[in-house]
Amino acid sequence: MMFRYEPGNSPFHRIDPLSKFVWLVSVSVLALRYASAPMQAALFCAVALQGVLLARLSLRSLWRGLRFPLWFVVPYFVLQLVFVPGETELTRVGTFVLTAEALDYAAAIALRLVTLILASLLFVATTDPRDVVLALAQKLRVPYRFAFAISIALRFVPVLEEEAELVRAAQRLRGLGEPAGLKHWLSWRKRFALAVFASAIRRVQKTAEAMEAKHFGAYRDRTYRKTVTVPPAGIVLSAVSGLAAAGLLVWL
Amino acid sequence: MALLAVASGVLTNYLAFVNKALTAIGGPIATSTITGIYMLYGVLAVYIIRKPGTALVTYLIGATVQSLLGNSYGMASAYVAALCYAVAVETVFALFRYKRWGYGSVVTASLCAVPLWFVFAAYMFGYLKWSFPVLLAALVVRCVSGVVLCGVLSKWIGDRLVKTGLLRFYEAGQTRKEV
Repeated sequence: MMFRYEPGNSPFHRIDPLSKFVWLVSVSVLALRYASAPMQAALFCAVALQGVLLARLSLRSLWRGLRFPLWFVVPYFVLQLVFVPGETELTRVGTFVLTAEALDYAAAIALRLVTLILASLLFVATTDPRDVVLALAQKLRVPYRFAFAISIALRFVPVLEEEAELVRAAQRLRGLGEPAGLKHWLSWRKRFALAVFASAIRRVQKTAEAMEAKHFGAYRDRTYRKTVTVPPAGIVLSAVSGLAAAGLLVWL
Repeated sequence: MALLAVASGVLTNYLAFVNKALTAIGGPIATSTITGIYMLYGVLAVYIIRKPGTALVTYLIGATVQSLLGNSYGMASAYVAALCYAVAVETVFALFRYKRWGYGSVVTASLCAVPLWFVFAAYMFGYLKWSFPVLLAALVVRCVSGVVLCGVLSKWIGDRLVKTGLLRFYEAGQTRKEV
């Protein structure tokens, strides 16, 4: 996982998922709207500042979260430098001509990607996935069967990883370790994937039978142990971010 | 659907490594070769369940799981891609009235899912300023990837799973008729 929920008591942690989602959408719309490097740099700084002040994430943890996506962003930056045409020559290395237009666009797109990822990181790091599921069902009136499917999906992640490890160990015991050569490796991968999938489906069926036995889905509504509420800070966050985004879109 | 969404979430995380390597080695064309794998789980879910709305629900759950697991492209791209794939796949299977499950319909749905996301991705990731031949080549490679790694592969995996008998409770396991 690139980044995950980290329990805490920052202002962002105390805000409900929906308000933070409005904030996330506002940031994303702004990031997607502008294609100039200075605007994207300003937006990135604003989001990073919110990460430090509102989500109370250290610069170290922000870097940890962004480190891996940067492997994807940096090649993209280089690609844009190479592929985007321009007229204002900055420098020339052999046959490659670096233009001001390509540099500005490449920096804008790279910063856009980093901002989108950073905003997602702040959301994920400060939001308990269970609260997202509850907010979907309680506030957005998403049918609870659908919301429960997301909840189940999140629970299945470690189970699936465990299952894969078991299958790998069982195959190794029978002398079917990872072979050399592409053809054998592909065939081994195929066997491995089908075994994991078959065992996962068996588990799904068991879960479905258990749910049916407990009459899951028999009623239109269900009760909840925990209720998600929208705090005043959430209303302020969503109103400020929504209005700021609308204002910037109109004026800039 | 939940299982396939999980698989997609985990797979997307691993694919991020491959994607980065391909981008570094072969730029936009090389990275387009694995596009089909990102779409596979939704088409496979429709192939197994064979009901309207399956692709939409599966792709949306997948996007949510990918987002909450922290995918390396951001939540915006996860949801926009999911919606693009879902719209195309659902439309194609609706045109086939959710009754044709041969290679023709599955491959067509997979092929049609490629261009819509390509348009959005071109805007989001800034491909728009690349020259037309590069864009066209990237689109063609994505279409081929969609056909092979999503269309053909989901049908192949689906049929293999039907043969195991594990899907006997699903539509795919009950109707072996293929058109």
